[in-house]
Amino acid sequence: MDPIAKGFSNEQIDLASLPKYESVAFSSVSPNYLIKMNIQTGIFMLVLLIGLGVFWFFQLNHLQSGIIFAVLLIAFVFRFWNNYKLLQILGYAIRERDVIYKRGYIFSKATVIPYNRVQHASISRGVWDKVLGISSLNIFTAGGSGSDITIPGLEPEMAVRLKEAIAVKISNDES
Amino acid sequence: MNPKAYNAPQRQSIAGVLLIFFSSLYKLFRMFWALGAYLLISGPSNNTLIYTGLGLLIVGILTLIYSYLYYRKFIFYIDYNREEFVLEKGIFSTENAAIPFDKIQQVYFKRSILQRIIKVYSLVIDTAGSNQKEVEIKAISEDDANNLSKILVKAKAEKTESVELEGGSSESEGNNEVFWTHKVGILTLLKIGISTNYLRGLSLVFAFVMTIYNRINTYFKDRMEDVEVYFDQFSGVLQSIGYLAILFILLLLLSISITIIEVFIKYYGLKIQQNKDKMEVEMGLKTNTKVSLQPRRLQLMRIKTNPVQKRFNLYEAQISLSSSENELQKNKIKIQGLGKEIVKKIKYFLYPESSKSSFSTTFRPDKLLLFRKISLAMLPVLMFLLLWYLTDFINLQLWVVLAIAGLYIIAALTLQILAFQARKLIITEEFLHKKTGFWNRTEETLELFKIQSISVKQPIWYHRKNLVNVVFHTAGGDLRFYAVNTDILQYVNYVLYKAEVSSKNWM
Repeated sequence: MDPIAKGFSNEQIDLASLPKYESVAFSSVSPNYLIKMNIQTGIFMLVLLIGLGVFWFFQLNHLQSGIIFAVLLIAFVFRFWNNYKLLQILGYAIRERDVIYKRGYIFSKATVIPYNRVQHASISRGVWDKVLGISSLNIFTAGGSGSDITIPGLEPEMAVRLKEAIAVKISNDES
Repeated sequence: MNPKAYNAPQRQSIAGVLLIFFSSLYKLFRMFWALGAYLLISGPSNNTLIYTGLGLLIVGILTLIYSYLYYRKFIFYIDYNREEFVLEKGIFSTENAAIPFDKIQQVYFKRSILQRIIKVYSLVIDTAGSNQKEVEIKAISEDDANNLSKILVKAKAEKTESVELEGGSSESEGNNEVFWTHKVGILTLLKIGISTNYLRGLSLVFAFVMTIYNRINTYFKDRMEDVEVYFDQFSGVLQSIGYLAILFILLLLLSISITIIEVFIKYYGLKIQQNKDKMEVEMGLKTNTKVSLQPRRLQLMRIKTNPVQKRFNLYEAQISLSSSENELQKNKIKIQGLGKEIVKKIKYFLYPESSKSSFSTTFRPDKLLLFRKISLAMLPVLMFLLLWYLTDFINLQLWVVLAIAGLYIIAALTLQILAFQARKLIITEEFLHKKTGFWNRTEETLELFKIQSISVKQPIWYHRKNLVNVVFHTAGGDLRFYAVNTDILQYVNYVLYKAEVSSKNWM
């Protein structure tokens, strides 16, 4: 399979010359994913605002509801801004031997899964995904939920292509 | 049997519509039964009853339509070219899963009462990892279930044959010659019982006494006057320090004997035996556990000790295994009462290549972690002070409060600092060692190529200090190391390289 593993040799490895996962060029996902996140945040906001309205009608005076409203507003402005940031950061990269997925702005996180550790891959599409024409790719390993990744906001053909590519890599690695 | 059976997209048995229908109805019922019960109790008029009936009818029809559509959309087949099993499902949100043959761990049937009545089976295809990742076909006829499982099992066997053969041949060569045997005697068990977690035993007893006290208290509450006199005397005795001390010692003795009993039940007759290529562990009084360890299945190993136990030459080993054959089998075993030499022998058996390493790098966490731990440890004292200041729940004088708080702060600070100093991650050519704990010392060992994946996290406030949190995911749990300098990233790349270049099976 690969030159080093084949004939047994045990040369010293120069750590600095190993490929660096952190300096890979990442592909970003469809901007439609931002719309999806914003719709979801918007629905959540609407529910909270309606709740506040009902509460205000029965219980609160102007000052109290004003304060709560302001807090909610700030929280949601932050959420929308965060959504925007999330989309900018979100990215994946397919390397010869592993797949890298990074996400998160305030808590950034990058996960690297070697192909010879992938159990299986699946594609899932929620209702909003269908409306917006995107889908998610799930990659599962045997390492528990923290070890699995879900890449959202992929164009459907792209998701299928990625999945097939990973499937080929998995079986190549085994043989 | 046609060798290429099930290569065309298949649906479930038509009876599956019924199954989906009833299970969705049941789900709806579970969601709304409270509403229905409320409606019935509130004494509805005839009109409301009619409307509710109509509504229920419409819901029923919609569910039926949904069930049919779900049935139509639920498709599975075997892709012989790609060598995988494919399943597509879902109306509103869809899912498309493909499982390569060689990742299938087991195929089995399940049947609920409803499935029995409509004469279908549930076929479950298990892959390694958690339960959520399994694939289930809920309504499949008996013939289909049998055929499909036969094909999948056969395909899996063919696919993994080459690997198994390699392992199998070496196993058959190795005869059952016993290299060494280690038995743990009663005296050692006694030592373990005395030196292990007596604090936990104590808290157990304490909780027990507290509950009983509470019970009695509530029971006697309405007859308080009768016992008030008695209580006066009782509390008078209670206040004497000598009595308290005796009580405490009694409780401690009780807790120690409880732990000893516990240890005896769990570890009685502990025996470790090593053959050429596997190690067998046998223990237990009531339920006799027998586990065979193979280096191949090992994922993560933990060695624990504390200064008291170290003096007695007692170590505890926790071993995580990947359990593919039997999901019910415990995949984490704890062995106690091991001497230093035995631990060495086990290590040498499980990690034969551990001796040579061309480099060894040690990482320590940044001070930021210490600050976080200390501030977390200060929370209880803050709570205590607030409670004392704002309520009269704690009824003490100022100097007592200050003394307690001061003692706590000093103890917590020293403990945290010592624990922080003990925390380190050592990376060598083949292994990761994580050492933690000042009192309860834990050493976790992970063979590099056994990782499943690696996550590198960086909260925004780590940027300036160039820190990251690293999590190594394995099939036997995660190994985390927090607030470490970004220098570790080249070693992360090295670990990945190790996993990707290795043709060794991780389980």
